[in-house]
Amino acid sequence: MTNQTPEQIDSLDSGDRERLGLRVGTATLLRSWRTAGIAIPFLILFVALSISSSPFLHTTNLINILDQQASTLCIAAAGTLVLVAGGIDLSVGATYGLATVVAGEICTLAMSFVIGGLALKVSGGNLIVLSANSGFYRFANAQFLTVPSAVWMTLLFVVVLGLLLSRTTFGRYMVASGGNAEAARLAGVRVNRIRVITFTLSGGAAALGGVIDISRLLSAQAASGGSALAFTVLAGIVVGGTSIAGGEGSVWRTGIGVLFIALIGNGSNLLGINPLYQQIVLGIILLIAVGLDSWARQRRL
Amino acid sequence: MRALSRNASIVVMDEPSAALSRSETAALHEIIRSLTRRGSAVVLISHFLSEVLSLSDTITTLRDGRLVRTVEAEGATEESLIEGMLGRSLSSAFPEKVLADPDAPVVLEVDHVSAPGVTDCSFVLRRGEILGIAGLVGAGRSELARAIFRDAKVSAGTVRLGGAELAGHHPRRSIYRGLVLIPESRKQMGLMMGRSVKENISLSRLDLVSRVGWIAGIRERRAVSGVMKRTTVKAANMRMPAMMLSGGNQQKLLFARSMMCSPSVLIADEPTRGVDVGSKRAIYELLAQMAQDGMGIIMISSELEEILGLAHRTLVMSHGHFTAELAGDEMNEQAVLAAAFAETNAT
Repeated sequence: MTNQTPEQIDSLDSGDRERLGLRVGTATLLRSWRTAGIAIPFLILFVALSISSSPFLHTTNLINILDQQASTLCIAAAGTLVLVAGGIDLSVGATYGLATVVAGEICTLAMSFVIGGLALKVSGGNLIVLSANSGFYRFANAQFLTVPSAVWMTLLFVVVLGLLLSRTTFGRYMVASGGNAEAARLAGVRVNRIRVITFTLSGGAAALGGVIDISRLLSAQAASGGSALAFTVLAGIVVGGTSIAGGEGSVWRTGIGVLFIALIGNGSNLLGINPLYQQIVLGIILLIAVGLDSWARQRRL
Repeated sequence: MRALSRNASIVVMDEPSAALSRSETAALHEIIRSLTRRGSAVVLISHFLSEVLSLSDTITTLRDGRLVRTVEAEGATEESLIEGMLGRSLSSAFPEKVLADPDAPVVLEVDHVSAPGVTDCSFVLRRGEILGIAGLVGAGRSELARAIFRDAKVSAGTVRLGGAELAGHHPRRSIYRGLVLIPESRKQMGLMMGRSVKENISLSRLDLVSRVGWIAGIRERRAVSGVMKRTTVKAANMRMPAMMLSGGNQQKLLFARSMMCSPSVLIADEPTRGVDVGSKRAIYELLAQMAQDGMGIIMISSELEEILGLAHRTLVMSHGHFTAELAGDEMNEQAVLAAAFAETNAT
């Protein structure tokens, strides 16, 4: 009887909650994780690598990292919008009905089969190699201020999506749709339309990422995308502090998240650390990020 | 129950009956009495004043985190407790009724509307009028509200707002036409709890504070602080998340959002549910003020005294249709209850 469900506590009104020290403390902590979040570990890692490995801080190495992550960054930036708008709710048992989640997931999965199959059919499963002199090569490799165009395009894309989420009415609608779809609809937000647009953007980003990668590497194979990429993208988003249940998140932190993971890979390569440990570390970081996220949601009464 | 099985000598109960039904509450009260008979001390925290008065031996009142006074329950009354909680006397629980001009223009016309849970409902609402809709839980009041708001599918009938038919299948259309709904559950249907006060308030009319989709920060803050002042939302700042506010302030947040839409008709579904006494009074005043400013207001409430104290006219619903329309002297507890329990179609 002394224990209460969150619903019971919420229905009370025995004074302003801002005065309850405990809840303020937790909430502030969570908010600071969400706003600063990954930036601090990222900086620490960056400084640590700069000290421990001399080639790390070279412009070539840094540009290389960005160049390699170009497509992942694009896809993760758009993926952030999908997650924020609650398009894919990866946390089973969240506010939304399980049925809709399952339906959404099956559609996504089915679509990925269809497109994967199409890619295999078109390419015949072969590795496609392009000529290095084509204009297509220049698309991602043209240099501007010693930085390849792929990096510039990615930067532009990420900044535009970041502003879209944080500074526009559309961004607010996405956040509202993901935070509480029912309330958003009653407040006049066209939730379904917003979500469809985020899916479209995400599809566009995947295409852009694909084109960038093909132009960079001058080769393409139908099997090259798939689950590994999806995992990296998702890991970047979640490490960046975007809630997997929707309603919270930011594009620039996703960018940091993706680069953080890239730094772990790059750093351990430079330091000659066994790739096995890389995976373990990455796994642990992801677990911490997801754990923090679900803890945050449970604390939210 | 865990506390009972441990034979605790002191039991602290924080709003134990807030989520209980009437019969469960009665059972709980019996348990509390048996606990004290057995020699346990019970600290009961509650905003149900009748509960406090009937169960307690001594009553302590707190306000803003400070002790107001501790008194023997014998001499305390509901009025004296409210006075202690508010810091001022509550001369009357409700603001004075300023009845709308009976010839005031009709702002909303509901004509033979049927929808899931609603059969053949018709009424008109005039400028400046507060129309109460009473009835038992499940009588179809919220369903009617959502049908008028075009959130539920309307199977028959028409809704005219300001003389023109309200069509469309999304609340957005209704809001932009000047019809706003404050839903019955602010947590599930009203607020983005994790988002800021500002974002929650401006959400419905972001078009007013943006240009081609780009939000103008200063304009938004100015508009939001304007409606916050008018609705007396108390928050340390407008960036704090909605979940950090008290229930009363969360509810006022929804009023602030509505006010930002400057609607001609407001439907408030259970506007004071889970709200403390002080905020209740503020919400009543807000509703009365909005009506005087020329809004037509539909108030759905399960608290009879609220309907009787605030509404100019009352429609009673039972089993999906209206069973009575009451105004003036006919508007009393017996009449409303009789109509609420009516089984057959009386109209």
